[in-house]
Amino acid sequence: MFEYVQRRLLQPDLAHQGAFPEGRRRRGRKYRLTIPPVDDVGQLRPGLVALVRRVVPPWLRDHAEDIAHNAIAQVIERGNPDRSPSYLMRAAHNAAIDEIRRRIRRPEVAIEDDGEAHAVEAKTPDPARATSSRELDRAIRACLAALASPRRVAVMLFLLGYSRAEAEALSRWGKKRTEHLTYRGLADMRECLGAKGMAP
Amino acid sequence: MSDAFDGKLRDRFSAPPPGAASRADCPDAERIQAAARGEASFAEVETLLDHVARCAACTVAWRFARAAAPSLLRTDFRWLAIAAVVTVALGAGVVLRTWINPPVELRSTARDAIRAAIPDGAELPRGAFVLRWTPGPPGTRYTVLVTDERLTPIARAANLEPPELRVPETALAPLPAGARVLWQVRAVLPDGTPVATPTFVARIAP
Repeated sequence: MFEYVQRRLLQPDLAHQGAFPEGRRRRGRKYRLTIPPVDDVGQLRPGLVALVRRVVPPWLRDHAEDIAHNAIAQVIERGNPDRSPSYLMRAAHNAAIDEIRRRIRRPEVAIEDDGEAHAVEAKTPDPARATSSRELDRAIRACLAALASPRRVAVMLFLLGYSRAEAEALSRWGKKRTEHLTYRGLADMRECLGAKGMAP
Repeated sequence: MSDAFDGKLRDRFSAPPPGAASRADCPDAERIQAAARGEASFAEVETLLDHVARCAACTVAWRFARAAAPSLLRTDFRWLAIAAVVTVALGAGVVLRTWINPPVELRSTARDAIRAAIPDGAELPRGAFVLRWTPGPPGTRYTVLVTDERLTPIARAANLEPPELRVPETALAPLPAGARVLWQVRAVLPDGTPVATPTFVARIAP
């Protein structure tokens, strides 16, 4: 909100811009009425880049600009007549999610603007370390899959960054149950990973 | 439970390495966004989280959706939210006045002469969203700027002679019922004196 107001302040003439395509007459006197266009979809870009950079793994951070750019390009190409800011933002977020998923599924190849396939450079090129990271990730996911459903949900919400209160709001379990399921679920995870000879 | 273990586990899980296992049957981005925002049923959240547990790509997708969504703790922070809204509304009023008032010294009597002819905060139907004000002396011309609460211009009319403006329904379409609409009239009196009114508020009737 403050960012929005700030932007308005930086462009004080915005309200007075815009074409006046149609003149109308009223009581013989011509007056002008205009409906300004909504903000350009491109204005979503800085916020989207920052958001992508914040959530993607370190090895994808350098591609945040590309991801945001591709997401916005997809929204523009679709050309939906609904150009309200809320629609554009949601559409851009959807496109960014798809783009992030595409790059994570195929990290070794990313199609760049020039249509050529380029290797994505990992931040940690050490092959042994990369292999052990993948094994750990696989083990974590296997242990999660083995958890009983309520515990899995509680642990998942914790791992995805939800606070206890947020998890409680999402699940409607209540404070005690949420805490208990999270605690027990994390204990199960520790035991499961330990049995596989792994630790995060 | 070890905090160090929990923290490391969260870090590892939320930042899958290159080549981490992902699935092909991923849910639509819209479903993930709705769930992360707390707009989906709990059964839907459970289904999606089952998938996310097995899918590295959707893990990051969920993190994105969660980061993009407002906090789920609306009730816990309701007073903070109310305070923020009041602060923003007051700020918006001040900013709007500063922004659109002409850089000339206004006569207080003339300024007071033009007032809203509809009650401040009045609810107006979308189909007849007519803003009215008390007229100045004959020959006065009006310019009206209408914005939403975020100061996004909705409509602007210049060189009006009658002391009223009908805001088109299409201009109001993006705003929800009950939304506050801010409007201000700038007038040029027959002797050339510019006058600007305070900012008035109208609401879109449900």
